[in-house]
Amino acid sequence: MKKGIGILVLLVLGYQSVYFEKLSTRTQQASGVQDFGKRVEAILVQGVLNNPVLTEDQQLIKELNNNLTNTQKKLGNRLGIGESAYYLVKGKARISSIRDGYVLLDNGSGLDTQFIFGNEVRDASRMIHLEDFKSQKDLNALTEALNKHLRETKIPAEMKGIQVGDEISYVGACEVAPSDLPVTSLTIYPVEIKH
Amino acid sequence: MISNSLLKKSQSLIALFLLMVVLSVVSDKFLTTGNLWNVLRQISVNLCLSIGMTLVILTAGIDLSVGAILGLSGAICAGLLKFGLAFPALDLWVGFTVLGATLAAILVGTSLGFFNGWVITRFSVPPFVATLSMLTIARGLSFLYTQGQPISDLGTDFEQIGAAWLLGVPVPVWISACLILVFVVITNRTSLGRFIYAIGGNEKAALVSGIPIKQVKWLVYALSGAMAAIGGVLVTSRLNSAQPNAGMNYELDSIAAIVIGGTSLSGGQGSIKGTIIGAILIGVLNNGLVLLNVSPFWQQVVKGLVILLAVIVDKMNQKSN
Repeated sequence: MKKGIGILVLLVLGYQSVYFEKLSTRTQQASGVQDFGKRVEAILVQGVLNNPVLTEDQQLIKELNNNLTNTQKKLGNRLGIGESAYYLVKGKARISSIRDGYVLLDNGSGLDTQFIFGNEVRDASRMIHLEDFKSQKDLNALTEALNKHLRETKIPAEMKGIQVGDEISYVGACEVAPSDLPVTSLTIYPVEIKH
Repeated sequence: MISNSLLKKSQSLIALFLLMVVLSVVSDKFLTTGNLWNVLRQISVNLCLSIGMTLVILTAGIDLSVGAILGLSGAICAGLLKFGLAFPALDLWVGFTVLGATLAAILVGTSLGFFNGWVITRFSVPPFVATLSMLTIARGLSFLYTQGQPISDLGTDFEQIGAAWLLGVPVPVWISACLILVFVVITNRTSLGRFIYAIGGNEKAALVSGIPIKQVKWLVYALSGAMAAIGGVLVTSRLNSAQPNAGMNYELDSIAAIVIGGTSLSGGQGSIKGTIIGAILIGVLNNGLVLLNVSPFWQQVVKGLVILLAVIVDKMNQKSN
């Protein structure tokens, strides 16, 4: 009798304690691949390519050297950490050289097409707010999804067939700190490259 | 003579009363309802640890691993709630409800406590050394399990355990009150309670009397581990987050509460009631020091001096007895 009651209690406790799902379904949901895909697309289209603060790179250099504080306020995005600000730039130039994925342009600036890591694109887009994320881990995951899409899919596809001497148009993000003044060139993390 | 004996028995209660009088005079915030509930809510975790460890100390043992077991149990509870368990070979994911994660945490705490008891009795390892080893093991496991990162956002249902009120009283206070009741009954009304006092009083005599010393010690250390795990669930729920270093040095507050409450470190003498008063005294002391803006470094010094004083009084009482 006692054993029976004990087993019954254990069964009820077990039933109330755990639930089961297919791991494959769960992993798909948990990774949030679709959500990230949508958010990455939104950042690139609304946050970068159609962003009204997108500025010609040579114009940005001029404005930064003229008045850094005003330019930071008008064209840059600062997160309140550190003194750097992030900018969205576009331009047209001829390729002088390509080395280790770094595309040097004849206007002195360069596109880093291989090492697209960090926060430049994310923060310049102004689409990301820290308070939207439950944890730092989620924010990092989205940042990496964005960078990975550019680094491994979009930019390699757009770079296909492009050679030294070609004229290209580009859109991207860059970081400028007060210590970089006077600015003579920019290192741009590309979001779009057109031949 | 009667009044002298009563005075000795009530030392910690008198100390608590005096401390409360002093604090209510020097701080206008101390005697507010909000602050007193806050003190009770804060001490509920220490109470869990202390009443569990009281049984251990009554057997003339000690459990230094309660803080680390608290941390590990809390982390496991949070991990199971948030991530569940995955079995890739079976394409199976097991999710845990609040009840399931809590029970799993208590099971982990109980197992580690039982292991402490088994090592102590099987290999005659001094409890200090065995539980010190467990402290390091459990802390390491906690860091391994969490990868050194907090596990946060455990859901509002789980948060209710540490944050909700029931009939005007915080839920953690209800939980610790129920546990106190259980442990008072164990120590005063059961043969296990009598065995514990007998082992602590004179282990050889207890052995000759046919008391199953090993089994009693296994149970006592397992109960201490279980109480540490309940403390872990309370802390994790209150913060809605499991910190890998949660419970660091909690064993010291726990030992302090027990010693101040009049339980002898040599075993065989003491009570759960004394431990409750000790825990409240430590909680009030902590609260008072914060209200008086005393530097955290000085707080440690003061707490250390209070423990030292309690041990000296305990020794003097033993001599006079």
